[in-house]
Amino acid sequence: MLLRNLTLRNFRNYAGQDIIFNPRFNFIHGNNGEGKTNILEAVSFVSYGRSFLGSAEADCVRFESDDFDVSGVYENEIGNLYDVSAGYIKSLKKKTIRLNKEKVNRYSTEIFGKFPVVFLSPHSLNITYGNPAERRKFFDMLIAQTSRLYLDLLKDMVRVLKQKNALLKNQLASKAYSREDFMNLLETYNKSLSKLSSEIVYRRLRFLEEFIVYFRKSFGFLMAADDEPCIDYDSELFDEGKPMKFQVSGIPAPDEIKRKYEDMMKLRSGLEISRGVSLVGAHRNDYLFTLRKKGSFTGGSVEFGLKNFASQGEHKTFVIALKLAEYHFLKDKLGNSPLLLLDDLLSELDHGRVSKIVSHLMDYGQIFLTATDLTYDNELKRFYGSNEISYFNVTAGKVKS
Amino acid sequence: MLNISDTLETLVTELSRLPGIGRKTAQRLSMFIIKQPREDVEKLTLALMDIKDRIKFCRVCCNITEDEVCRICCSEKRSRSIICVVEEPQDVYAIEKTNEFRGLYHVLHGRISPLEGIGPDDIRVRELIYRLEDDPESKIEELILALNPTVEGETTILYLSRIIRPLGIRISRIARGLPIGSDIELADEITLAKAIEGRITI
Repeated sequence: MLLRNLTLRNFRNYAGQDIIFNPRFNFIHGNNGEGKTNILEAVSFVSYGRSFLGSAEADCVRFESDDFDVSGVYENEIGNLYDVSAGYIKSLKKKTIRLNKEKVNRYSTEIFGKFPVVFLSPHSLNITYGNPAERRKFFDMLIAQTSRLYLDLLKDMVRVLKQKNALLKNQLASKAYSREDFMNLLETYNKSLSKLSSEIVYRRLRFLEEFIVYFRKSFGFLMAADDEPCIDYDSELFDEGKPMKFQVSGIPAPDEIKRKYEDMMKLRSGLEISRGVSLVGAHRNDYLFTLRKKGSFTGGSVEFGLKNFASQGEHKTFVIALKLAEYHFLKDKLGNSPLLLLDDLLSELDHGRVSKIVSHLMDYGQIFLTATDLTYDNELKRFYGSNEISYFNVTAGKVKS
Repeated sequence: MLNISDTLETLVTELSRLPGIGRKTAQRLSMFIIKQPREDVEKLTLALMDIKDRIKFCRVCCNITEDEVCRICCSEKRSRSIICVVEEPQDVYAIEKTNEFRGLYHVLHGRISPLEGIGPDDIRVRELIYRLEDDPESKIEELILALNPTVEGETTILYLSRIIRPLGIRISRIARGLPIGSDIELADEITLAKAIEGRITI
């Protein structure tokens, strides 16, 4: 997929801006706070219908304006054009997304996963540094783009959880139901929740099994080959709370996971009732990143939990490898190349690693890179022809190419 | 904005409280009523008052009726061994239109949703249990749960089947799947997945 052009109107610090992109490499440079990232955020609106920085639409409206519009034209591998636009009116709190001028009503079927984008920014470090919710969000978004069914399971789980939590809270606060009604209702929600959780966990495990291959490949090219990275699925279901090494033990069937969830919910229901909140389910699981270092002093291999032991550099390498693996995974699954957005990436890394990344960028489709200066320009020119790079200088919400 | 008439304004406000009616439509309806002959408006007024005064809920199935017991529950032609449970009275009409179901109904008037403060006591579950368990004349053998395929509908189905199963009554739910005359290629993934899950041996 290629993004041919982008139009921003009253978006962030842009009053009105048309940008025509290069099909290969787009180098967006300018000082901090001038609006480089805003361009990438606008790209996220025309590909996902929302901001990947998680900003509220109202915050994206330009100062003293009431509405913004961003639109862009995508071109797929066989030359078909898609005109996507996203608009928001602050006073009406109304967002409208259009595909080829037609209003999109069911966004999840019509847009989601159609215009894939991989976004790598300093923000992405939250995947390894942040709390479990950040990791679940990252992987959920990735799986959901390739499976509508998974997206629907997630939506249903969120709804059931809300209902179950309301039930627990109503009972704790005001004894809203008779003892018998309450226990029957709780059992009912637990049944739905263990079914949904098991379907979700099963799909996450199946995904990890596939994804780890992509991940090790991209990690291998960034780091010494004798470090083996692992992604383990951490759930209370397996081995009395120890993270599951599913690569060794194989993936359990959904029915088996469901039975375990049912037992676990029975076991914890007393605690759930007294605390008034759901404590068991796929919404409480985590992904654990570890690094297995071979040939260390002890002779055997040693495993490091990334969260507690890794250096800043190792964290960054992990995240970049995750994102590059995301790219290749999406490309294979969706059958079209995502856009690669690299926000302020190079400033964070040492020179050797940057050269390594830059030398491989040719393997990716259309790239958008932001930086404060043109430091790595000479390296890029070694791999890209002069008509394959476009430069955009950003100053105070104006783009000059 | 200029308020032409307080009377008109009151009618517009009242009409726009109806479901599916916005202010614009309420204005159009009001203008139409103004131009109507007096007797037509009287007929409408009477119909509105009558519906409030005469319509009540059937003592047996909780459907809306003008009598103590509704026409379906009174009918000699209906099978007394099977009940179809629905969320709202309009679902009864939808199923009646098929002319395929010859049993009785039970209208819950809602579905369980703790988020909105709706528990089993807020919908007509007790009335259903009475019909199945305590009513001395009951001959119910089977229950069809025809609730909406939403998270709340599913929850209500699971809850009902949980409390009714001990009574030894056969419980079924309506199938989910493809609309007749449609193409598989046009169906959305979720419906298709449910249709595959609920496949039937032939």
